Amino acid sequence: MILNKFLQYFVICLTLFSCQKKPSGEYGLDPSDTLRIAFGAEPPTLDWNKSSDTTSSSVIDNLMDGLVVFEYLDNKINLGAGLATNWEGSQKNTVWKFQIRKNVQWEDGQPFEPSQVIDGWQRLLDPKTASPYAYFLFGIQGAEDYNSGKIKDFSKVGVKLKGHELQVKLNNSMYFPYALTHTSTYPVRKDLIAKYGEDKWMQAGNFVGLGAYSLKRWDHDKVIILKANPKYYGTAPKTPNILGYIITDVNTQLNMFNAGQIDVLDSVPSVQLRELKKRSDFVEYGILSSYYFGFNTQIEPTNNPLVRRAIAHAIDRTKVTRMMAGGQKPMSGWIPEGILAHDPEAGLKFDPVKAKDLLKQAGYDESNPLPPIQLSFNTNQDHKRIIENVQSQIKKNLGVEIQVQNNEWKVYLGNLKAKPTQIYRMGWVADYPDPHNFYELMTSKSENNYTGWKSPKFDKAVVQAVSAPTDEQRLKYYKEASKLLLEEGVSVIPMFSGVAHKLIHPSVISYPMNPMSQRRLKNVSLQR
Amino acid sequence: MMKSNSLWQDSWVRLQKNKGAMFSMYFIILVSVLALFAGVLSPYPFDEIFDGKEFLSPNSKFWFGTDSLGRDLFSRTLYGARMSMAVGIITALISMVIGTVYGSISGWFGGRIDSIMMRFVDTLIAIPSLVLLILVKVFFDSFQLFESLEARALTGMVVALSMVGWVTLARVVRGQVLQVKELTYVEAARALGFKPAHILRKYIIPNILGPIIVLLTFQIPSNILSESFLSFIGLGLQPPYSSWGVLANDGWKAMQTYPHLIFPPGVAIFLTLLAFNLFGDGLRDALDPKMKT
Repeated sequence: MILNKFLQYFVICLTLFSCQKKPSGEYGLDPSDTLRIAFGAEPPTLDWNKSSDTTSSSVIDNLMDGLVVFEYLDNKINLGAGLATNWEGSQKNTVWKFQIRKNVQWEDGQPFEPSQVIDGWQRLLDPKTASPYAYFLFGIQGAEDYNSGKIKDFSKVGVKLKGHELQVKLNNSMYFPYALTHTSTYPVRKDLIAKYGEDKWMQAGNFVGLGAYSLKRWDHDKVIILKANPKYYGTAPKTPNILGYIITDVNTQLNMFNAGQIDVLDSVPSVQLRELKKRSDFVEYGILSSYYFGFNTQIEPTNNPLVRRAIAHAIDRTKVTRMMAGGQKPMSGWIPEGILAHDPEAGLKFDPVKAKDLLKQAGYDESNPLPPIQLSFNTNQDHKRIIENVQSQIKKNLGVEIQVQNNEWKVYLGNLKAKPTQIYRMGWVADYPDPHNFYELMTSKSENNYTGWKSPKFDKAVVQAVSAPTDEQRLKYYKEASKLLLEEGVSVIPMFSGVAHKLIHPSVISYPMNPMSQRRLKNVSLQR
Repeated sequence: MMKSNSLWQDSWVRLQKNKGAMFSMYFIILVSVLALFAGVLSPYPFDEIFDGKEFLSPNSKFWFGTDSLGRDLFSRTLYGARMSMAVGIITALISMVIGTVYGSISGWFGGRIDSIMMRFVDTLIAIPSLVLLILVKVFFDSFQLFESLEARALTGMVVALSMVGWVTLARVVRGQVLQVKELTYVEAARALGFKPAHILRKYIIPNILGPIIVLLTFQIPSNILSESFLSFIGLGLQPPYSSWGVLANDGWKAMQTYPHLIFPPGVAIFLTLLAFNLFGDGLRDALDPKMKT
């Protein structure tokens, strides 16, 4: 039969065709040594002097190392050696000395020079860079003046290099190495920035780092591929390749995880949490973060502290966390549990009677109701749920209408910098486990403080707290700062501390799970 | 002597013979009544949150279950009908008025005026309607024209859909006017010395009302769908207001674990669109005198 013969050939051809190529994963990566993950957003920038978000830093942390790195052991957070091998503070921690590591190479074979650390700091503080994290180094003598343009000469800033010893002089005593774990303080290659330009040097192909991985490919809004860096000074990463898909929708991510296309799901759709919790590959742990609402204290009617206090008293946080059902802990104070100066009693508690009373004192009642208040958030189904709940609570407890508005993340941040609505939502994940990181955020010189609230008393208390020699004294100042921020100023309403929810495939061993949401992947191994 | 029937009476008789169209008509009336009296008919306020009652399956207390915040889905679907129907009908009416006026001026005067006006319409049609919709909506959302928050939530949507919707109507009306203005009764009116506005109002528009009404019945469901679509991609009404599109968007996200959330808005959108389309079809056949049986 001709047809049968034909069919036979057809089948043979098909088999041959499919045997022709060795089965290989996407982008030509061998699935057995590739960790596949998903990024929830396109990283706004991989320029570590300029980035301020967690997506960017989760990529940068794998491409670069800082002078000091966090090490997580048995629920403890320690500082480990990075590009600095040793460090010590002297003169009551106002002078710090760092021994910079020798024999480190960048990916392109160039030696790593200690002066590149200073180049990075100079660029971070340069007013032209306009970095949101410049204030991280304001503890250094002269740094703030250099950032504001009062000092033009960087040699007047308190950093000095002697061979491989870096000396830093501070205004006040503080535990400075913490700041150096942060991406914004990493060393930079001035020659590469000059060669490729300010906004091109971090693109794949141009990018040169010295971390565990190198940036192999970055298809914007699509995929990021990292490959082990053979010149890395530390132990080589256990998994040679990282394939990171950029997928904004968590439901799509979940479908991909269920279909075996990605190995780890870093955040799960909260509406499906109740079901996902029953799975064996589900993990949940608290992170050092704070979800909060900020007030624009410069516009009507939230420029009135009485109105702000009334609103703060009108929100029952437990209702929100109960609805979320994700293990989040309601938090009226500014510092999440697990960090010094956490105080469950701090801040304004839910008190609807007092809330109404305060609103009356502010001059608003039934005959003269408060006009609708604008509340903005970045587009995200979880935020929307939380905000709808709060909106309904404020209406019920205070009779105030809340009009909500949402924007995509980049636009949202732009709006916050230009002119925030009366109330906005924000979150803060600890950069280092110290209350200073949280309190510094709300000082008048912080670029991340969008409230317009400025209090010299608060600024002073924060500086006094960070330079106080004992924890007891620090706590005293932080108590004062907390009172100024949350009870007198009421520029922010803390809501709850965050929780990470992940799905991790059993073949993935020692995936980073730490309370600061850092994603250094070099110790992850695969058992396929 | 046989009583002579008017065109409208004839059409009504023809429409009644079309069972599908009649059934659709009753369905539309039912949905409109539900939408109008949503405030009275719904068992709970649409934005009331029942603490600890999130994601309940349909039961005797909550007929359609509850949503991710613990709000009654039945009440929200009823209220959503109100918003969706309001968007559908108000925008259809606005685009009808604009389209009719624009189209009849263009068709009546003809010549250069016609060319200019129609090229403008062509330009608008050339822009993908979704882009135009999003642009106009985002622009008008920043306007605070009304006191009531409900009206504010609707403004951007209604303006955007009307701006896009009137274009097709204008084209059809122009074509009809071009055709009708050559007829003898219009010539007679002209000979009697009536002004153009009077002739358009009294002689032309009543005679082209049929196609306009038919187009209207197709415009309404397409508006409802556009509203649902915009809401579905997150550009819809702002919380706590619900429309079917908003509900579908919320429901879809939890579809895998709580399928009861997607069905009410989905079925509502489906049935209403189907009803409007069947009714429009029937109406078109009924209003066409050539189809006389």
